[in-house]
Amino acid sequence: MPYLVLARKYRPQTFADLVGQEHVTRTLTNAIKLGRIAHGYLFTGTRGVGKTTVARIFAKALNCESSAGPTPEPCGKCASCREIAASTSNDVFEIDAASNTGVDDIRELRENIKYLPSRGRFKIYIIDEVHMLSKNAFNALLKTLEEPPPHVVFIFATTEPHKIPDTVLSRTQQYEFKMVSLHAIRDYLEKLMKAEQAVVPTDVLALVARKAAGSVRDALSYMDQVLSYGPDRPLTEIAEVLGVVDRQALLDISAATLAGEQVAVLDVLERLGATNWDVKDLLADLLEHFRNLVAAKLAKQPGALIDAGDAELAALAKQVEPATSETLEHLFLLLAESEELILRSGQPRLVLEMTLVRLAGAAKTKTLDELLDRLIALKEGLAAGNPPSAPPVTRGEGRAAPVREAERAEVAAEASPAEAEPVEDLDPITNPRGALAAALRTKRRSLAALLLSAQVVRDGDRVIVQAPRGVNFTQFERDLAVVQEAVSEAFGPAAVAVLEQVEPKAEASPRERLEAQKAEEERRRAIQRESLTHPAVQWTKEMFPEAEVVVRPLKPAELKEE
Amino acid sequence: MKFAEIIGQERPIRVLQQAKRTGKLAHAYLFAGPPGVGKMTTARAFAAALNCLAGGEDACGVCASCHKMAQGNHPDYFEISRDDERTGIVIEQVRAVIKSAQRRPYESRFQVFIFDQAETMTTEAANALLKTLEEPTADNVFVLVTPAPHQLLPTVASRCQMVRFGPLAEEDLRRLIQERMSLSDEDATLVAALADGSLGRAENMPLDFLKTTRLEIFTQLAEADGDQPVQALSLGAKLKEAADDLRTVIELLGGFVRDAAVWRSSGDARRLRHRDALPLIERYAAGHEVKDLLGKIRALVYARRLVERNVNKDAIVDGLCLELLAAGPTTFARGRLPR
Repeated sequence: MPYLVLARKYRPQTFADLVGQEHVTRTLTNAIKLGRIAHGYLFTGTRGVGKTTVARIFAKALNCESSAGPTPEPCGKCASCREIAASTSNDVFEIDAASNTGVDDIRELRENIKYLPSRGRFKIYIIDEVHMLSKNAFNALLKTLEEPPPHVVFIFATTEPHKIPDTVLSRTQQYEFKMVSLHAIRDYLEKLMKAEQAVVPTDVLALVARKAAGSVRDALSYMDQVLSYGPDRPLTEIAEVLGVVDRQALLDISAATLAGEQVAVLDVLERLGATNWDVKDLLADLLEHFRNLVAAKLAKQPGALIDAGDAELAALAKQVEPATSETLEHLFLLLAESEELILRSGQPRLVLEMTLVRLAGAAKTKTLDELLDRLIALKEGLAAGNPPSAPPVTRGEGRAAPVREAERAEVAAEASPAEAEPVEDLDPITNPRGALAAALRTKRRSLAALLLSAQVVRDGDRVIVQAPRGVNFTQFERDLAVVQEAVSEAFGPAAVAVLEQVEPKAEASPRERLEAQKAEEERRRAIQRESLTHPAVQWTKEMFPEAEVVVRPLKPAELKEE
Repeated sequence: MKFAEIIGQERPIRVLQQAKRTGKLAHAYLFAGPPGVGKMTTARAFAAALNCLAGGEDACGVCASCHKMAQGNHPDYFEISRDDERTGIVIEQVRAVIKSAQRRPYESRFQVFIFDQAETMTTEAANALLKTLEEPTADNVFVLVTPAPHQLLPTVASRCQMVRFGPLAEEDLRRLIQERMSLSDEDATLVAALADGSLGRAENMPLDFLKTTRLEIFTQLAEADGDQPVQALSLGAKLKEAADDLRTVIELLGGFVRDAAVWRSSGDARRLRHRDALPLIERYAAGHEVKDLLGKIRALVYARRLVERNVNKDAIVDGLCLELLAAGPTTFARGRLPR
C-alpha cells in the first residue's frame, strides 16, 4: 500500500466524521430522514472545508443498500458504498467541470440522464469546480436542472459561487460551507496524530492550525510537511519550515515601532533574515498584529477580540499602555496603505523593510492631543508676554528647523485674534457649560472642544452633561473620570458628573429646507416692496428721477457704523 | 543532478530526502521561493532520486535511470513550462499531463511531472489540474515550482505539500558565483552583496555596469542639490543609456534609497548593500528624511509598473529622476499604482 497523504487517508466517510459544517450535515440528514430530497444542490465554500467530501457521503447515503431507502448513516460496507468510495460506481458520476467545460459535455450528460440508474436508487451527478463551466454550458443545463427525471440528483461544488449564473442558483439548494474554527482544526489534528501514532507537541498543532486559516485540507497538507520535517524539532524551526513568523518576532517589531527605534526594527528583520518567511504572510500577520494592538488599547476585554494566549495578551497590553489609540490607528493605516505597494513591487522584502522603518519613524511624530497641548502652552506663553520657548527637538534633524519657524509664526498669527476675544463668562451658575469647559481645557483639550456640541445643566449637586448620541457621547463616556475631575474643580467637591445621552438634532428634510427658503424669499420681497413705498425712498426718487433704486440688506458692519 | 551537488537549501532537501526514506511521499509538492535559488535544480534532483535504481536517499548518478535523467530523455519524467512569455501554461498542456498521469510509468517507479513557473498556469489550466492533483494514481508525483505561490489558485496550493526555499546565504552565493561565473574574488563579493541571495539575479547582473555606471549614477544622486530639473534630466540620460532593462536599474536604485534610509536610521555601515558606495549614500541620506525616502521607494515601484506596462521609457525615467532628486514628494507617483 503506497503512502497516502493525510488529507486523502482521512477523508471523512460519514457525516459524523466531518469537522465543522454541522449546519450542512444536520440539514442534509434531516432531508434524508424526512424524504425531502431536492434534485439540485450547490455546495460553496473555500478550499478544503469538505464540499466534495460531503457530496460523496451524500451520494452514499442516497444509494446505500443497507436500508430500504436513503439513510443518513451509510453503512460503508455494501457494494454501492464501496464503489462510491473507490470512484467506480456506475450511478455516481463525479465530473470535473474544469476539464469538461463545453456545451458538448453538457449535451452528452443530458443524453444519458434519462436512463434509469443501473443498480442504485439514484443517478447522482457530482460536478466539481462547477464555476468553470462556460456560459453556454450552464444555459444548456438549465432545463434539465429545473425538472430532471425523478431518479437524478445534481450536486455542484465550487469555491467561487459568484461565477454561477443566477438562473442556476435559483434552481438549486445552496449550502455555504464555513471556514473551520482554529480550535476545531487543532482538536482534529490531535485526534489524527493519535491515530497515526505520531507524537506532536500541542504548540506545533496550534501553529499548523493557525497557518491553515480555516481549511482542513490545508491543515493536513501542512501537517504532512511537519511530519516529513520532523515534529520533534524546535518550534521556531518548524515555524520557519511552514513559513510562519513566530509571534515573538511580531511583538518585537511592534515594540520597536512604538518606541520609535528604527534600528531595532531592522534588527528584528535581520534576525528573521534569510529564513524562508513569505512577504505576503508576514504582511498579513503584521496587519493582524497591529489590529490586535488597537483592539488591546480600546477593548475592555481584549481576550474576546484577539485570538491569542494569555501571555501574548499581557504582552500586547503592556506595549499599548503608553501609546495613544490615535497613534496605533495611524500605524495600522500606514501599514494597510502600503500593502499594495509591497506586493506589487519587484523587491517586496525591501519595500516591506522600508515601510516598517517608516512606521517606526511615524510613531515618533506627535499625536493631535500632544500638538494641542503644545499649542496651548504656546498661547499661554504669548499671553504672558513671553516669547515661546523652542519645543524640545526630538529628531535631531537640522533640516526641520526652518519648518518649525514657519509653524511657530502660524501659531502666533492664529493665537493673537483669539486673545482679542472678550473675557468669557465663567460663572458656574449663569454659564455652567463655560465653567466646565474652562476646567476641562486644562485636563483634556479635546473634551473641552466636544463640549460645544453638548448642554450642561445643573440640578442640585448633579451636573448633567447632555451629549448627542454617537461619537461625542462615547468619548465622554470613556473619559468620564476626567469629566468628573473637571466638574469637582468647577462646581465644588460635592458636585457629581452625570452623563446623559440625547438624540442629535434632526436634520431638516430637504423639503422643509426648501419651504424655509421660499418663506425667506417671500419675506425679503415684502420688505423690498415696503421699502420702495417708504417716504424716504419716494422723496429720493423725486429728487433723482434718473437714478435706479436698489434695495439691499445692510451688512452687520454697516449697521454698527450707524 | 544529485542533491549532494546543490549548494545551500539544506532544509528543503532534508524534507525531501526524509520523505523518500520513510516512504511518506506526498503526491504533489509546491516548491516556493525567490527566483534563482535552486528550486528547479532541486526538483530535478528529486525526480532523479525518486526513480534512481540504487534506491538511496540521493540519486546515484550512474544507474540507467540517472543516466537518462542526465541526458534529458527519461520517459517517465515530464517538465512542463510555458511555451512563450505571453501566454503561460495552457489547458492543452495540462490535458496532456492528465492523460499521461492515467497511464502507468514506462519503466520506473514514478512518473514525475514538474511544472516550471506554475503560477503562470491559466485559470482554465489550473482548474483542469485540480482533480488529478488531488487524487492521482499511486505512480505519480507532481512538483509545482513557483516564485510566487500566492498567484496560484488557492485550491491548487491547498492540494500540495509546500516546500519553502529561502534566499541563498551571501557566502554560499559568493562561492557559487565564483564557481559558475569565473569572477575575481572582489567582483564575486560585490555581485553577491547585491544579488539578494539569488544566483539567477547574480547571473543577470551586468558587471561592468556595477563597477562603473552604478557608481556614477549614485554620485549624481548624491551631489545634486535640491530641485534642479537640469540635473534630473542629465541623470535621466545616464539611466537610459545605462542598461537595456530599466528594471535592473530600478532595483539598484531601490537598494540605494533603502541604504540611505537604513543609514539615516541606524548609522551602521554593515547593514548596507552598496557598502562600497558609503560616502555617496551618506551624502544622499543627509538631504532626505526617512518618510520622503519611502516616497521615493514608492516612486520606484510605480516606475517599475509603468515599465511593465510598456509606457514610454523617456517619460518614466525623467519623472523618476525628478522625484529622486527632489527634497519632498513630486507628482510623479501620485495616484493608484498601475495594475
